[in-house]
Amino acid sequence: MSAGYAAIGWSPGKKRYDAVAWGASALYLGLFVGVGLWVRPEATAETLLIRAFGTLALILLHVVLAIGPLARLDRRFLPLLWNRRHLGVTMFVFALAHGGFALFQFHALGDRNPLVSLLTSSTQWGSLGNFPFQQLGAAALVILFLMAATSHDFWLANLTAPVWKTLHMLVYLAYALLVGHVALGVLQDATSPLPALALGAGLVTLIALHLAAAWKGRALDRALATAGADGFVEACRVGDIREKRAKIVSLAGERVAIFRYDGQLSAVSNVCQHQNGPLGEGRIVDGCITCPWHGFQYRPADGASPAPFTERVPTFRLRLVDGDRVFVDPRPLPPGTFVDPVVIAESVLERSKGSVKEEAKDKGAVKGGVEEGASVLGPSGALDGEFFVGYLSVPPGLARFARGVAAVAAVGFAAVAGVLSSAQRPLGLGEYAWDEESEYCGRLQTAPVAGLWTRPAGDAAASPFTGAFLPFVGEGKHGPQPHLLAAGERDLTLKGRRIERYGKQLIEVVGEVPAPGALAPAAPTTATAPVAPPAQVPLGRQVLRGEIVDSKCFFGVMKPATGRAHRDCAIRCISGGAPPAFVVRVAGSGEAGGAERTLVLLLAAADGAPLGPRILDLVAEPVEVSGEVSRLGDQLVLATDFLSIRRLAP
Amino acid sequence: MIRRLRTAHRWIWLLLALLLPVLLVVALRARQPLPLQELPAALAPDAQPADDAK
Repeated sequence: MSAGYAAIGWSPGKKRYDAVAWGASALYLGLFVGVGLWVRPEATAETLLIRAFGTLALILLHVVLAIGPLARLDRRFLPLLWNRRHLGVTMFVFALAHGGFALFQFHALGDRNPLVSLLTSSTQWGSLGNFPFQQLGAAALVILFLMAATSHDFWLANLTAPVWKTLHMLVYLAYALLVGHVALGVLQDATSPLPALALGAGLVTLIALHLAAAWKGRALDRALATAGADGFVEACRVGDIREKRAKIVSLAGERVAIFRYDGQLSAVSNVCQHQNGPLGEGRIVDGCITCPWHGFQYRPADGASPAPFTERVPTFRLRLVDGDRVFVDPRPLPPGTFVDPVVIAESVLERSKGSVKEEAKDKGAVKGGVEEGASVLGPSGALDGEFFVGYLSVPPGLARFARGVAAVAAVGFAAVAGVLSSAQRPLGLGEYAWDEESEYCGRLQTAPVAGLWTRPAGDAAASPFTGAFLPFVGEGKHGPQPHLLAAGERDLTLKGRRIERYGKQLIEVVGEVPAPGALAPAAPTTATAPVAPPAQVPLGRQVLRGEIVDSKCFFGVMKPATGRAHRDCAIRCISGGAPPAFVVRVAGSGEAGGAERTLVLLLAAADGAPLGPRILDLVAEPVEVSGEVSRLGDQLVLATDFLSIRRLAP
Repeated sequence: MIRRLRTAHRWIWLLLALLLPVLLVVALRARQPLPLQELPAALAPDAQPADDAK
């Protein structure tokens, strides 16, 4: 409890709670990245981080959503509930890291604002297989941000608990969006069943916990019998209420907690003013009703918090009939109204002794959250004599249980990290020499694909071409600079970074390429006849089935560079001018030992117009393309037009 | 108010219990793996052993 606001009301317990949460998270991240690098050494750091942060945030969200029903089903989990908001904010931080890395990886450095790209790259809302799953994740992140930003007690007090709780129920919408985000995103590309099984297991567990807790709570909401002429309703017998505890009854739609303490009875609303916790599941500690969730306290007789605190809850009038039958007036009195406690006759007290199970364990005052004589498991599964209050020392039995939960969480996090990381599919062996600029010499060609016929530096006329044709891409998610191509075919030398896969290379042209007029002259010519680059060899019209990708990512810049997860990045790269490519998965033949093979072709426009902008909607899904195939040095080119590309799936 | 929230909470989870498993199953069934195909003789020599096959 606090009378004012502090950024965080630290206590040793909260520090331990956060240390466990961050420790388990660090263990998860370390193991996910470590195992990922071990089983998939080709993986890039950014891909592993995106996956590690995303899966960790989703696991933490499952934990956050499980704590509520667990605490309702078994009181030993109440200490987890006490600091749940810290866990929620921690989860948001990892979700934000996932979203931030993904936004940069897939949408930044392109021809559109990354946020605009996020919202507009994929728009196939009517297709399940190509559904814009990233938008689902972004919407969930906005909700999680709202919740994290309003998680502090300042907002809880100023919005009022019901409004705050209503706002925070949006977490269920966020969860549904995230299930969609994963199911329609990464699971579309997964080759291992483990990620789907993990998500299914988490989903089933959460649903089962929440439905079980709702079923348990449903019995409490059955209203008592109709009120008599004086308006009072019979609630229970004195013997039904244990010392320093309450009996919760449902009256006129709301729950009332009837507390028994020091030979008296008092009734207050069951709803704590702080976060609407169940006061009736609390205890009398130091003479005050103490909420089991966060330890907010109220005097039983007037429902008011002791000074300097100002919280108040409604009170209710009680009456004893026949000395033992407890009647309650269902009409609430204004919060903080004093009501004389009902005194229980000595004879009734004597009779009720022994009628309540485990009563013997409840003797004595509560010291530091531990009631004397406490150590036996009660019917609820909780250590019956122990009661957790966050700002007091933790009772030994609950502390042991909490340590057990922390150990199970650590082992569980480690196991899930290992399983999910090792389930990643192979990412391809492309190479991107991002830290190494090389000089390339040769003849520039602008059609059907812009690139360079390379040859050794030296006499341009005498040096033979190597036979390798290296298509151009630009930096970021762009094609080559327009003025590089504007002057048409010519000999030149330029700087670039090597991108290579399947023995074929691309050049990422770097730095400022001089304007055509200012280009350094090619190496001096001799009197001999100039050497021509290899001719384009036609291979006939073919019909091929495969996937359109962007060549820059596919040849090595991004891993993975195919499938739904990479779709938006491929769209951005092709839109920015990177040449599209077509990837065909080839069934293994006897000669190849049955292993799957891959054929990669550069896509070019048959009509001379840029093909890229017209095929963005067909990227990263199975399509059939018919067109003229030709050999261009060591590359294959598939010249087609938009109308010759057919979507294979509906 | 708190009772309405409790009721809403139960209905929300009942709805999620019905919808999310269906979404998961439908999404998994909607997966579209790339088809494997036989290449014409002119292109077969250019195919390379896949470096990203499982």
